Amino acid sequence: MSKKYKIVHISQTPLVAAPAKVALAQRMSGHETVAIVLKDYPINGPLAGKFIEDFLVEDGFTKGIIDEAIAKADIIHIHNDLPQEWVTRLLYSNQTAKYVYQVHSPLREGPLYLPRDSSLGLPFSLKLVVGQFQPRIHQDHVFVPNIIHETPSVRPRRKGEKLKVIFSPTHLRPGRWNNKHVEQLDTALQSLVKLGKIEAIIPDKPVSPKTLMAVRRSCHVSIDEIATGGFHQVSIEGLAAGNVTINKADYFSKTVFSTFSDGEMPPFVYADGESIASTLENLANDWEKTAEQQLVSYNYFKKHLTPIKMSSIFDKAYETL
Amino acid sequence: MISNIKGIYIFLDPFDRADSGVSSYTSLAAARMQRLGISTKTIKLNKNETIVDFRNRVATDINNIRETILCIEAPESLASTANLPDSLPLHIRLHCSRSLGAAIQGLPYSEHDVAIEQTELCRAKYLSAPSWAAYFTSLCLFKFPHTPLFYPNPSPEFQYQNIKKPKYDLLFVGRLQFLKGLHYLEHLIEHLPNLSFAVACPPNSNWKFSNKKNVTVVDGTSLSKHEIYNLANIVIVPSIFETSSMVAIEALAHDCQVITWKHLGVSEYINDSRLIKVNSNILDDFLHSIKTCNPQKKPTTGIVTEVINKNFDRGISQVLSPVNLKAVLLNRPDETTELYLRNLIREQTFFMKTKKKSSFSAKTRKLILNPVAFFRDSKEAKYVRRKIHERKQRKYLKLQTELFPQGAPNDIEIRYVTKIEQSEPETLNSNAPALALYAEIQKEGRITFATLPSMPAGCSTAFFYSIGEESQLVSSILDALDSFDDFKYLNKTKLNIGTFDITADETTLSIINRIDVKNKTTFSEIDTVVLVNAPVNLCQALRAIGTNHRIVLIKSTEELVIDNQSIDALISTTDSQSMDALATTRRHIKLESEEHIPTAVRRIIQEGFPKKPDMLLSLFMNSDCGFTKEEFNQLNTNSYQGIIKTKPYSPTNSKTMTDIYKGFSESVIAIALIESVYMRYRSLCEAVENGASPENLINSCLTDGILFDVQEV
Repeated sequence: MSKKYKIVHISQTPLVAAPAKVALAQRMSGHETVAIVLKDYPINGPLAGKFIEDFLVEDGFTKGIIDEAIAKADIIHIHNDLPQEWVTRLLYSNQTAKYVYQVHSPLREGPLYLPRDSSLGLPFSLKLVVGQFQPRIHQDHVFVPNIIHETPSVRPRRKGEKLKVIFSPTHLRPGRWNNKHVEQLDTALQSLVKLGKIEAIIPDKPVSPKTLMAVRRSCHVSIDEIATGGFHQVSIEGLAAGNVTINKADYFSKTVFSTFSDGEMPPFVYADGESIASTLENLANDWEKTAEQQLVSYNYFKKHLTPIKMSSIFDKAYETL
Repeated sequence: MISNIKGIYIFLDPFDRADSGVSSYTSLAAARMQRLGISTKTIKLNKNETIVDFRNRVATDINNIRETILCIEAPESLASTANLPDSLPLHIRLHCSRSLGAAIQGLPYSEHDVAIEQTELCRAKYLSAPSWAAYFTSLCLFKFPHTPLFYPNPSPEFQYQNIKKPKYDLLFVGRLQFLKGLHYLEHLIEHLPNLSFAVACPPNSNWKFSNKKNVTVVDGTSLSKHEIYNLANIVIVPSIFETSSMVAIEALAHDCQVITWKHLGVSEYINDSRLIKVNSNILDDFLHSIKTCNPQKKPTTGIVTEVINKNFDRGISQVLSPVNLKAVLLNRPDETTELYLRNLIREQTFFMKTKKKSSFSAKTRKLILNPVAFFRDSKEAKYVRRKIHERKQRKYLKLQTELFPQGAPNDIEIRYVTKIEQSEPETLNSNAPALALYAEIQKEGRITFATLPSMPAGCSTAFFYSIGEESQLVSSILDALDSFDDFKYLNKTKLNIGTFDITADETTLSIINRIDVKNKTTFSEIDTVVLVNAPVNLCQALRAIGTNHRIVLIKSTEELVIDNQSIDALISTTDSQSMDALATTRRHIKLESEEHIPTAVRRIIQEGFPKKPDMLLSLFMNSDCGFTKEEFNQLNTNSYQGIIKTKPYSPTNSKTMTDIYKGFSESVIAIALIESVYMRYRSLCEAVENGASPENLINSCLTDGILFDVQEV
């Protein structure tokens, strides 16, 4: 049994709850872990309040808990970036903890633009990176997974059932990896809906992750994004929900991810702007193929991507500290 | 009576710029309609908002409107209405889309953009155009389900000029672009040296004619419209094409005389001596009109503006009124002009492509369409004119010898005008600035970049040098770049020149934090950034603020420290780079002499031009596994920029991407890259072809976002 630690995760913003999910998985593995976020997403924005649940946000009530957690931590695990006053506070509060840096975002575009690990001024012993498309940019960082805390389920498509597709476009930003929009996808979805081939579930306003996941479980296909060549948490959620998961993930994104699953490539279905319409139509026309692919997704998640298994990858990384 | 109609009329402005005709139209049209008793609302593009975000926001905002929507009007350009349902009353008005503007200039345009604009044209309940010219020209790119309603763009209210004798003879207002007739303007300036030209354009416009004796450039954004149109009595509008011409309308509303081509949209609005319409593209006629025009003799009147606005009102009434009567509100152009407009794009494309080819077909066309111009411009006529000129020259030289036996004085005073002198202080604003650099990156303070005129893809280049840099090197580079007559993209008028004064101890992050999001977005319009002996922190910062541009560093000093990962190309005249560092440099040109630097810069920029078609090139590697024609043909280059063939590879025990690159590279059998990518990483490709591992190449490509189709064989 690996050693158990007192771990504090800190991030400036929720990062779509990724640090909190790691912390939760680590608690399930027996570690004493908290996740602190400095502030939620902007109050009038689409993401406010939706990813903050499992975090501690500092206020009068929580300050004592946070101070104590920091002071007693064996590992302080920083995500993406931190303001200078927090760096000073950490160094002042705990001189024995090991520092781990984890990056979630690409470079040359917002929010980071530049690597931050060396400019933060903390003595990082380990550098991690989310194991999707990001490693190609942060090449010397160790891959770690995004963790999904959903019980895997599958509702295979039945004969005569219309193909149900869920697509939840996230907040659009400019950049090579942030720009996830593809016009042809909108056109393909609209056209196939008008033809009566598919039912498209596209939330017209921001929805909580739990609600989205519940809806996802009722669908057959999840579309992540087909613009960048990477993939996101949505793809992993799609596997957990037993959906055919469509993205444009390239060989290297999938190869990195396969290091979490004993070398088995994730069963994503590739599509780009030119092929998305035909990919969806082929699925729409073949209920058996859809059901078969759904089961592949479900089995893959069940076998490889459970939170405890994913937490062990962090454990292995911490062993080098 | 449309004032009795209940509901709200919505305008969409996907530009929201002071120099945009659409934005000016939207503002005037909304004001005009409010005077008619119609409620209006304008949804404008926000700062830093992409068009995709704008379309989404439009859909959301419209969905939240509770009142009856009378109409949602948008320009065809950028398809702002794309996310709106068919059930809404969409009104598309032709303002000359960007695609059409590009096509008219013989430039490439996106067929995808045209397709989505076409969709909106077909979906629209109402179609209108500010001129027949707009419609005829648009037919080159678009199909229309029915003929649009034709009515003019509205005019601002009439005001008299308040300066009896304006300072300049002629006024040009607009961006210094080919579409606005820049080449015509330059011709007029050269052929009318005794007339003074005021050119009101956006600031930081680089233009070789700005130093001409009879030219004064003013910052059009720092003066009010009234101040601008008080600069001269005559306003010239020599644009290649305008659906309407806000400049002409504004000029008429400010009591100016306007001279323009007869095929521009505004020529259909009125028949009045205030608006002189010149035969299309006959510069001599334009010159003649200027010389013979005397606006002081014409009575000043606001009737022109009144007519335009009344016709706009009637046009809008036709849109909103259920009665299907169509009054004629514009003068349809004559047959010659209509033919010219219908063929405008073809003409321009033809002109751009074939100006070096045999002139026979061009001359034949000219003989048929413009016989007067044909004979006037013929070789015989030119010969006669040249002989007359030479005779005059001989007389002058004889006179010179008589008057100046020691030789004629040879210093010519060049007048640089940096501000307008105020003759009547209560009317004009005299703070027109000197032409500014693209950017001045100083030791502290915000870093801002000027907005650029649009350029073809790959052509927009910034050139930065240190304020303390040896001026001879920089000026010799700039002069040499300016001398490339066959490659004008690097001429001083096209280069965006900036300076930097950065200390080595400022962190890269600090430099980045001095550039706000808006300026990062502005900077992203640049394709190539050339830096002369720039420090590491500046190279890192400029590369980090965007993903589209390339950093080219010129290194002519031994002691300059560089970070190879922060530059896309290195031009060096020194040998101080280590082999290991060079092995990871994407593109490196080593020169023996500084005099070759300009050629090297040109080469790198040319290499980076978009390629059409962008074909695959396979690297010479020691393997039997080549690529078949089918494999090349099957590659979707919109999704992948190369193919890698590899033996089966397992990433077992790989913890980092560096581990994967090492292991994967050993399995690679063959690599093919599209030409533009090959050129960008040419040094790394050549290293692979010389036997090096492809690890550095694959690493650099993937880091920069290149995608490969990896095939295990």
